[in-house]
Amino acid sequence: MKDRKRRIEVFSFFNHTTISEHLEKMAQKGWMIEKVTNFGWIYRRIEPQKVHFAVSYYPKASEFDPYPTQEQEMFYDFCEHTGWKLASSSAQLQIFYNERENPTPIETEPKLELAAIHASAKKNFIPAYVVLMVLGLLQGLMFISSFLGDPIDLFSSPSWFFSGFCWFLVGILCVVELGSYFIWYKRAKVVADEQGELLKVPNTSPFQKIVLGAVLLSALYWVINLIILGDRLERWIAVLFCIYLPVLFISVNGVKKFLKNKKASRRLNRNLTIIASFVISFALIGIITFGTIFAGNHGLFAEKGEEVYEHGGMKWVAYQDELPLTVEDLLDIESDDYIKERRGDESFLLGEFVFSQYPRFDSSDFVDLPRLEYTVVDVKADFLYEMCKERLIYEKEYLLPLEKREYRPQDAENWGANEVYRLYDPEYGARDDYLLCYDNLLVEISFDWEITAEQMQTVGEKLGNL
Amino acid sequence: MARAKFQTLTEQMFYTLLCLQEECYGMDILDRIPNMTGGRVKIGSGTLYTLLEQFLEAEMIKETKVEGRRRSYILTPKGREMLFNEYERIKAQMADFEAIFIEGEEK
Repeated sequence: MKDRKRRIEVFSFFNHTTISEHLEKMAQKGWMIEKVTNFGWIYRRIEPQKVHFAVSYYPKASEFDPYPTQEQEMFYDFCEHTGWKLASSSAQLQIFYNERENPTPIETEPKLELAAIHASAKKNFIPAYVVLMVLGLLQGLMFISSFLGDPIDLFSSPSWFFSGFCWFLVGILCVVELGSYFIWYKRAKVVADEQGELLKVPNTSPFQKIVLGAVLLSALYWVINLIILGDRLERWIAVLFCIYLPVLFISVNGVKKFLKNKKASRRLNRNLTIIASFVISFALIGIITFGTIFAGNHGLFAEKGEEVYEHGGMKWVAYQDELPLTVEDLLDIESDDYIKERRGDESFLLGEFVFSQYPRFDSSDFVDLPRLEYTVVDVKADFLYEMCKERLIYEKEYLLPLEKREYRPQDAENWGANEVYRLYDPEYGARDDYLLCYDNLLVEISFDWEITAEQMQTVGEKLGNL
Repeated sequence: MARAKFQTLTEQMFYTLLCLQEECYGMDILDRIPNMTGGRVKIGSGTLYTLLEQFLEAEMIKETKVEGRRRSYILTPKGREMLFNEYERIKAQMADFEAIFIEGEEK
């Protein structure tokens, strides 16, 4: 039977009542809090018993202190005198337990207790959450604007969707936490002044758990997408990202702990830990970036059997991907110098693929061989179809507003499509750029020539049934 | 600032200062107040710790002995004045009460 267990606890910093109640329940189940760490709360097995818990706030404490100061020890002595023994502490948060039947509470003056909570909150909780809130809201705004403005990029990239969604949630979480704290603090000040009581703290734990659950679900969505639909490079980046954050977190915590063990002063520890977090973070990003570029240049991400050739002092992959529509399908051309490349992102909701057929850079026919490039948006979630179509039209018509181009509807029959739009330019007239709308597919395709009805049918047969 | 902060004293502030009319270890105040008031007033350890710190800062008390973590304190003239002011305030309250309920009923 395990004597210790670690739990991830989700409490607001200032929610002393819910923390105390939770720890009392844990003691009744036979688990006594032993340590509050950044990697979860550690409990040790005890005989199930009824114990009182109290969470107190000591504003002068710091997570960088090598040991409690003499003043802090004096505070502990005072508490012990009334039966309150220190169970664990984490920076300003001090957890005490008391085995006496009706102990005098540690805090008996609500105004002083509230002042201690606020002074402690100002040291860590408020600044940290404000920074996170700003970052979260900025990223969250980008996420929302992508959702509304560029759903193709957002939904086709599981990584962008995952990170954007998580930051959005972090932003919301911080707004809720800071908002509920300040509302509570403002009201609690009035209540403490007028009624001499400490107002009950709002419990946001259920909301925090929902956010945590949503983050885990989106992480699961991201991982499963990458396993099933990702390519080697995407998986490589995902693995590095999964390693990066824990390594950064563990190493920065390791530096802090090491300095604490070495009895470094609070100031020295804090400064060195901040420097270490920047240095380790940049070093890891540097290693990941250069490692990925180096590995890419050495063909590590090339699929098996891909030919790599050298041109202009660089290595290039001679992709021979399967393309749904080729130059050969439309024109009477045969050449071994073609590279056929399929790029794109895909998720369970949407896929965006760019298919390119172009000559090798070292081909003698590089200039003469016609090229073909088209983008296929595979809309798997119906609710995204209209948004994606509008985005594609917007990109052509409004992204370059001075050119005043517009998509005009065409007869879709030859293409076998539901709708077809052709791009018109006020200066050059009709262009050979088309947007083809099939049931779940949107295709943007450009030709170097005026396409014939027969070629339209070929395109429709090849792309319309993907 | 300090004066404004302690313009009126709460019961716990009042009895803490009263205990320090003679030299006393901080921790002993935790027992003295309930003994002095027959258990009517109790002071929490955290509250007492904070009060002593604030009284020291406001120069209402001073440290007399520092034996490691064990420290004793005594009231300063300023603290004494505050305590007397509070006493006068309570007396005035009593007088007002008596004027209405006791003397008023006698008339």
